[in-house]
Amino acid sequence: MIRVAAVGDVHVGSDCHGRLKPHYDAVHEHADLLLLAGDLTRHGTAEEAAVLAAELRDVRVPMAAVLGNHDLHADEGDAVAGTLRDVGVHVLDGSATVFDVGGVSVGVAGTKGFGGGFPGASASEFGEPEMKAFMRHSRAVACGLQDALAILATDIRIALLHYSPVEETLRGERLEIYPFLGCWLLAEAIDVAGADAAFHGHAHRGAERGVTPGGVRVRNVAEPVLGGPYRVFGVEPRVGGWPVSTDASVEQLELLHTTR
Amino acid sequence: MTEPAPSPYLAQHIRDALAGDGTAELGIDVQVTEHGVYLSGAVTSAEQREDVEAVAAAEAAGAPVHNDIVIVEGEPRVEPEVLS
Repeated sequence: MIRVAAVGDVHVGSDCHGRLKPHYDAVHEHADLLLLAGDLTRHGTAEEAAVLAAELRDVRVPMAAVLGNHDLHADEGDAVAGTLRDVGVHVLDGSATVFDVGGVSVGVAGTKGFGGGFPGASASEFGEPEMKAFMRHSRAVACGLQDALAILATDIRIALLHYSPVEETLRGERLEIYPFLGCWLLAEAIDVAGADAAFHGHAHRGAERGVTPGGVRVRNVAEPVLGGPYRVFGVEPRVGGWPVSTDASVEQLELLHTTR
Repeated sequence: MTEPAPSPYLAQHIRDALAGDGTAELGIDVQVTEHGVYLSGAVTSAEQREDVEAVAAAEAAGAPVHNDIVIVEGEPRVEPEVLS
């Protein structure tokens, strides 16, 4: 069994030096991987990313992350991602990476995701240019996630998102804002490609547990939901591993075999 | 002389202010009653909690601000939940 530590929405600001480091320095005692589900900074500045990078600098397990809406607010998303990559975090955006954990291959495909809503109450690519652009972006990021998952011929497949693929993990949030918290297209992407688990953040008042229509377990790992700096999940390798199921571009796949 | 009633949009004005570039907080619950402004939700530091209260107070123009915001400071949950 592979132990995955996951958290999102740590919202690191300039006032957060040292808050998370003691926990992350010891994560290797409890987990084999650390996944970060977006909203890693408060305003999305390179300065805040540097604070977070310092908290992660001595982590002794492989790390993967996606950015969240907060991480893009200051239009410094590339700098935020670059600062995290400098300390070994694989920042995913419609892309995937593979970790070797004691001979078990773990593929992580990630996307920020976007809003749009859920079956029966979702937006459509119709109307004003702004509305069509909104849903086209949502569809594009979901397609990117599907392609990134489908090329992972690994023992374990994990989907890492910021926005939610299902409604169940939003329970506790106001119903009226569900379309801003996730989209059904993300669940379809996960179900069509196949995965062992999906982790997301974004919904601070949501519930922990959900499942896609195709049976993939979904966990909301936003820090306010967890009540702490991470939660550990156990994932068993799929018997026979996952087959590649797409002709998607190999450029989407960032291969890494780690020996950390 | 009785105090004027707060604007029916005061809670939303406070939410908008909290979502601004200063505090960047989109998830704070804001309730306005005859007794003042009530803030609840979770933030990641004591300083952020104070900043949120200050932003709310600036919008509330003298109405009392009651700060029920908690700081997320628990321990990691290390016992694995097995997903598959």
